[in-house]
Amino acid sequence: MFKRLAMTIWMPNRAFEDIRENPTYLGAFILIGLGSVLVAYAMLPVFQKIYLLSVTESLNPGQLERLHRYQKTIRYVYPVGTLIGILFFWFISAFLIWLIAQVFECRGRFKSIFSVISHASITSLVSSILVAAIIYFKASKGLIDLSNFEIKLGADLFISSPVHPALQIVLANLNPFTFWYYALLTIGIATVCEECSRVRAAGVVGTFWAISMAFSAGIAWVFSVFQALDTAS
Amino acid sequence: MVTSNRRRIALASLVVIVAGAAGSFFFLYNYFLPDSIAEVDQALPILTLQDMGGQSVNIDSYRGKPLLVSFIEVNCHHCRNQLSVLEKLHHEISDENLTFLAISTSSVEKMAVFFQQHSISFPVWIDANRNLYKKLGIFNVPALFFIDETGILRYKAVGYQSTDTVSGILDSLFLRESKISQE
Repeated sequence: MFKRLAMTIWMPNRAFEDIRENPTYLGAFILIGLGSVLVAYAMLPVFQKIYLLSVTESLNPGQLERLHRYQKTIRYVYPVGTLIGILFFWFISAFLIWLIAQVFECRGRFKSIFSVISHASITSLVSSILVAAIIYFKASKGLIDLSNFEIKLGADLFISSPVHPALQIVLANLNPFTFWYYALLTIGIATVCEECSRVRAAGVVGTFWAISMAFSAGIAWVFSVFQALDTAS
Repeated sequence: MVTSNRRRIALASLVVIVAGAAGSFFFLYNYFLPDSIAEVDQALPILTLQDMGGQSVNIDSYRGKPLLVSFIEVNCHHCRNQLSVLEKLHHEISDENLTFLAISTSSVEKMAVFFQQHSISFPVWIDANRNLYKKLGIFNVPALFFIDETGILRYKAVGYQSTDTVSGILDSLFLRESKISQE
């Protein structure tokens, strides 16, 4: 189970050929889920402590006590939320890719596509471990501000002035890890779907990327209203 | 033939999903997007609201006295705490020095029960269509607006404010002047 996940990094072709024969996702879910929860657990106390320091002065004792209780609850809820979130994200992504694949006349089973997505998600675990390591490195030099948590790995790294949140999302998405993720998806879709060349699979994944980017940018666009209001008040 | 049909259904489903998401985002953006944002040191827009008796009322009718407007909602926990703070101050500060007013988008019936339960003695007006909320760019409640006697917004605070904080703001904006003039 875990060997195939490791193979996704070194020998993606062989991993996806194996998925075509035996499309399971449990191993990937256990390892990626566990890894994500561990990374979140490592980061959460640091994040909460800095947040607490930044708001302590503006809160009365009652509000502070409530915040402590709230933060404690989050520590318990977070792992469950992370696991449910991963499964939900995989399910939605698999459904969309399965639909797009039909349009591109790539015939694949939903289960196989779900399995490809679960294994390709190893890239997000690697990137979150890297981000956690960078934050810890920064913390060792004195982490005092919530802005220290903004680690840029994508094209937004080259933008110095603030841009619209929707554009920020798109730029941040243009990073080596998402390219790696979409490359793995392309290989995976081409392998598990019948009558699907790599070019066609790239079309499927490219369309999926465009839709997910539009969706993320749409959410950022809606939330930009609240950001503007907060800034104004 | 089967493949072609499947392809058409998949394409139609995708179009529906994408159009639905785009429509939802457009609706949410326009729903929350304020007409304008209330700026400090600028006059508040004049809008007609409803009092608890169903009569049309206007903030402009309070001109001539400083005004503390609190935007609150029935189902907001912090709004209840905020109202308790304001009620306490309402008892301490003379009506001649400051007028207290609450504004909510909740229904008259809900607000009547809410005010009775919490023994609030100052008036509440209803902005059922969120017209004033949109004009002022209010998204978070409770929100406190401190308006001077000429109708100019002097300070705004979003989120729960303690008694000491509200007293401090009032003192620096309005009450210090009235205390000096009384002396």
